[in-house]
Amino acid sequence: MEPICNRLLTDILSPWGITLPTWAIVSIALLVALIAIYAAVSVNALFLIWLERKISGRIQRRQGPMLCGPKCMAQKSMWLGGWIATVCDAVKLIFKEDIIPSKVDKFGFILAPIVVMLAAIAVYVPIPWSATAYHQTERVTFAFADLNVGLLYIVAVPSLTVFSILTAGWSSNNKYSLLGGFRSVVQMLSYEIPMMFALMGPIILAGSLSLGDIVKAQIQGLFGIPFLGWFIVPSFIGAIVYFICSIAESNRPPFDMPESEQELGTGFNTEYSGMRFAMFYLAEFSNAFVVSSIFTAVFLGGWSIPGFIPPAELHLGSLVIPYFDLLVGIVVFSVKAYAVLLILMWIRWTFVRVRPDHLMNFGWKFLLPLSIANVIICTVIAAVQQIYFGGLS
Amino acid sequence: MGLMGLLNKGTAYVEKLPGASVVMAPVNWGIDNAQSYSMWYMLFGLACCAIELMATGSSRYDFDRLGMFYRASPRQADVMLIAGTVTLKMAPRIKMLYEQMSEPRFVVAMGGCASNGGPFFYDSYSVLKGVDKIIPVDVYIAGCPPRPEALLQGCLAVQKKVRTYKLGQPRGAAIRIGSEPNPIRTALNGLIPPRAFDDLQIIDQIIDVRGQQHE
Amino acid sequence: MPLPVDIYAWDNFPFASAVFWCFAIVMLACAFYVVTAKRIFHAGIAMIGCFVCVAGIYALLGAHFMAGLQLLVYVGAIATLLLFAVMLTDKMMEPQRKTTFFQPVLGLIASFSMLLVLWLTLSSSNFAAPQPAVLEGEASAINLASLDTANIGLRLLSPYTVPFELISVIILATLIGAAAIARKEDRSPATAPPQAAAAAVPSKPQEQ
Repeated sequence: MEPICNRLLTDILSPWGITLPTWAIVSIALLVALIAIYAAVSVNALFLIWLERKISGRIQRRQGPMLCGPKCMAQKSMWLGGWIATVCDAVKLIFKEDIIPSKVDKFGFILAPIVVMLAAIAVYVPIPWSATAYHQTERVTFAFADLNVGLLYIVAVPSLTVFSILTAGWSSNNKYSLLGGFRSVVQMLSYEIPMMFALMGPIILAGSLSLGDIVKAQIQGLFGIPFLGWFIVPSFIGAIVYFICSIAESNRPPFDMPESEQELGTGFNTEYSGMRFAMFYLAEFSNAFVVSSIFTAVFLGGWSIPGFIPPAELHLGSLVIPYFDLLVGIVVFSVKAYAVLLILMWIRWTFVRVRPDHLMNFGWKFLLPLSIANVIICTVIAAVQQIYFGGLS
Repeated sequence: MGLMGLLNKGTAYVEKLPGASVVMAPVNWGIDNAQSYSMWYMLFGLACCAIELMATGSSRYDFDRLGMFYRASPRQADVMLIAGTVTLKMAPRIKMLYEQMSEPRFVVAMGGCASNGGPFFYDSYSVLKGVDKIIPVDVYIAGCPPRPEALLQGCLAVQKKVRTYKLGQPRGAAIRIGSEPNPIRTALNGLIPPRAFDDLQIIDQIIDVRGQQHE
Repeated sequence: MPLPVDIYAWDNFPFASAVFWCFAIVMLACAFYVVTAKRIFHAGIAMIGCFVCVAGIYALLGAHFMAGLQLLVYVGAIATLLLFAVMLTDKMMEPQRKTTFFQPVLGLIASFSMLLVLWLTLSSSNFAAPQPAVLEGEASAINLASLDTANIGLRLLSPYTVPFELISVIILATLIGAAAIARKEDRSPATAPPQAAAAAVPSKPQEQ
């Protein structure tokens, strides 16, 4: 965010001859980033919950929420009716009574949803939404912070989710919540390792942990062919393994063992009501979107369109749109991320829940060797690329 | 606690100020409508009415159209659809679950058994004759079992009840407008004399059961 | 490519001082709570707070890889394991840590002597960056003054290969040992004692 804000502020203020010192630019960039990230994550999560209900309805040959909002819209089309269903849900959850059962461990009980929400929002930071080359020689990535250890950060921050689900389960003073918490932690820990190995393929191919670099490395193309640059091609096994592991990491069905215990009885958020429960709920959907945007950035080429580089500024007659490639990049990224998210939702409503022992079996005995094989394959491809085609970055 | 407690107490306080109705009426309208379109029901099917509940939740008659979907935990549910026969063994558990629900909470007695004992009204030693003997009920749905359309009408009735709260009226369990008599029990009054089996004694044991080991 | 100037590193980030003080104060508060919490689980949570603050300080120093690894390894693995162990032994309703009068006094003596030792050691040591030695061939790509991921990787493979391999062998041995300890006993009928098998057979007709 800082380079883009820097460039933007310089562009806006230079006609007046004002130059801001570094601390002012950094603080404005941080403020913009904070507000943008909270707003974007919340609104996106609300939209996603509505989308989930509609898509599940469509898959099950029924309509989702239809009677919320202006009912006249429901007559026209299924996709117009009930568009503020999630807003109704959020308002209702705000005005619910907040129960803290008397025998829970208050410190952990109150801390857990906060940390879950924190981790869910913090994972959005290194995702490269777009890149621009406006008035610059090379493209600068537009992310909240393009960390040079972006992928490591993305794998490390869900550890906070793991810890807080454990705390939620234990603090509820309910043996079923505790079991639900244990199972969730075990599931997330055992699927983190194949996930890391699956992500290692693109890291080797791109030569960097930074997500901006990984997206840029997919532009050049593979073995000289520009259209095969997306890392889903050389690292196909890794993409599939990452997809499956990410479903497990975000506790979505078919890996919703901790949630399923709710459907069958209890789970780690049994004792939560009102807004605390809403935090777990929103965090789950934010995680789903973040996981699909990481998939897009790492395997599907992020904000890039194969074979087409949008101009940095668009001239329409006498109108000049600056930062045009930034806007195009955001649109392309969103389209890809939502496509992956639709596949995630489709999988949710198609597959049966996985049994815990099958889950562990699958993770350790099948996905882990596959992902290690993927690392070997990607190393070979990267070596060939390096020796014969001069490398990807 | 914090924000939610302030919101609830704050609205109750503001409503008492003079001229509050101008500001609070649209706010209440908004909140009540939002709550009515997002009633989450607790997954609590006991007997045959549960089958009709499941049928209503599936694709032909859809609960999600009304914004209702199930939550297994009483703390996250708004409305408890008592679907099925309430036995005396189950009754204390129902009371406990009702007390675990967070306000505002509503109860729909689905079917004959939950309304007044149903076919077991005349001659059964183990059935609670109507769940409103232990928890306050908002809507009674007749039928054995009621068709999905009847259940949907009942749920729409609960939603309408939420939407027609007056200003200053406490929401949820505390609001039982008058003590509305059970219409089904009233209709059957005197038609079929029950056997001399009285479940009132057992009711006292049940209601007194908080935290204790029950029979 | 990362930014030509790492603006989040100490020298360039304008609020580095303020951020450092935030992390430091939170870390000290969490550390204090770890020691004085009445319930071990709260101590575990506070320890995780400490680890997160340490990761933040690593990031401020420019060691981003270390910060990520700190979160991944310490919070994700070690602290989770610790919390599992605590949860299986902690009883919810009893406050722990009934301390006598003597324990805080002994604790203070111990920690002050530790502080003295650390102070003397740190004040007499030299933390300047290591002088870059001359490395030949492939190893000349290593920049010994930098903490980049690439440089860490190169260093693990060229000057420090032997310790790296030894550590991997030790970790492998640990994993195998843990698996051997945690393995279930073999309960197949072939290895069951014959008396149990003989006793099992006559009991079946009796059940019918």
